[in-house]
Amino acid sequence: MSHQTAKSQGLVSCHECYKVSPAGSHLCPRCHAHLHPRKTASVQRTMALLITATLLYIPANIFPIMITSQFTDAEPSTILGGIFILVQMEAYPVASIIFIASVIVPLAKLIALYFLCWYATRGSTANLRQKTQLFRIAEFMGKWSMVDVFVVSILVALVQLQGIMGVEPGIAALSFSGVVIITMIAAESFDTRLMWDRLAAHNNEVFTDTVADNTPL
Amino acid sequence: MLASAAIRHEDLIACPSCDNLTAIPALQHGDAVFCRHCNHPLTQYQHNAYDQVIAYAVTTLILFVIANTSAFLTLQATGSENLMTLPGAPLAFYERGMPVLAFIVSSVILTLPFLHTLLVLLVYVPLKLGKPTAWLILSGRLVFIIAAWCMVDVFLIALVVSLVKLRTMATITLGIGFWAYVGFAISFTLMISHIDRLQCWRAIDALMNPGPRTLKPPPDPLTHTQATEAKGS
Ligand SMILES: [Zn+2]
Ligand SMILES: [Zn+2]
Repeated sequence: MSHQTAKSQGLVSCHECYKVSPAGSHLCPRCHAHLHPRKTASVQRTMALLITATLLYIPANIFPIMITSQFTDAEPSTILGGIFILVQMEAYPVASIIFIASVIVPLAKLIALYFLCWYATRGSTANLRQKTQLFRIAEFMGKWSMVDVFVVSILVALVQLQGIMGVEPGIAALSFSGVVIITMIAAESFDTRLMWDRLAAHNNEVFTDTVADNTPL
Repeated sequence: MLASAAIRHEDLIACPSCDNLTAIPALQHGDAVFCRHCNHPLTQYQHNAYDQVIAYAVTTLILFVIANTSAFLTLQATGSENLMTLPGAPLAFYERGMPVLAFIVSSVILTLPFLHTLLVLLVYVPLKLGKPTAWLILSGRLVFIIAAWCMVDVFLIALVVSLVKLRTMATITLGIGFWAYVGFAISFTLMISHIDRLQCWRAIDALMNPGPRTLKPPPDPLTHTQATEAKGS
């Protein structure tokens, strides 16, 4: 199967409106967006954001995401602790939603993006279709991790009965939303076309050319 | 195939995932085109998209106002009660010294979805009327940039989770605002699903640059086969 890319045909594609223009154009004639053949410093930016998100993931799981008080006792709960409480309440569907959205999705997304950064610079060029698919799933799932933070915001606003019961937000709510937002920006900065460029370079046996093009402008 | 003279430059689009070029000429209602190389969905043409998008956008705005101004949820336990409004959710973070979190939550569940819907109207109403406007291109760009940061569907699931978490602790009354929000989230999601980036930008282009290019010749048999092929793979 022939792979005729915009780049190989001397074209640059607008990431906002999809119009293709001759390579070397700086502004899209249709939507006036800045044109880049590939996202600027894609792997470096993505990696920097991923490392930040990974570091934030630690306090997000250690510190309480909310503190529930009933009468005089206050009970802090972490993300995992909250899931445990839901399991004890036998609210299994909701427990699994939170477990998937707050534990599986952010971890899987971080790991997937680290792997993809690896494949965009070195590593095998096999199964690119699946790798591209993996990226799209990671990109799509990202925002669902905000569920737990939204739950905290609803509970804090709603559960306020003076002296009877109350919910206060914990610091993990802030670090966890940081993880989600930063991984979303990381996915936005990643350019899957870099992996396909490596395949094309591999096929044409002109390694040096394409690798040079992939370095930041 | 791309070297063929029958393929016009304006019809070409490069896959955002793999940069593969695909010729997408004028499409029929319901035609979906996927990248032959990586299966990225490139476009889905919907014939009556303008009317539907405008109808959903207006509904979304009306329900948004109701959701924000009516009673949202009421909690009752041991004789006391507390009423929560929708803006109260992000505001709760602000009042407890977490302004950054208040800003993030209010942006992704309220401000950006509202702005997105307004911008959709600013784009689709001129497209529907066939009247070019000065703000069309800027609004068009903002529509797609903001879309990625709207989380109304996620907040809807968070509401369900919260109600389950509280069911043993207290009695919750669902207010008009709650149901308005459910309607808002559904209407917003339906609106988004009818917006196609390629179709929208081609329409904006045709409106802003009227000329011979807007008069579409009948699709060339060669390019059309290619688009149909792309559908299957
Ligand atoms: Zn453009
Ligand atoms: Zn593709």
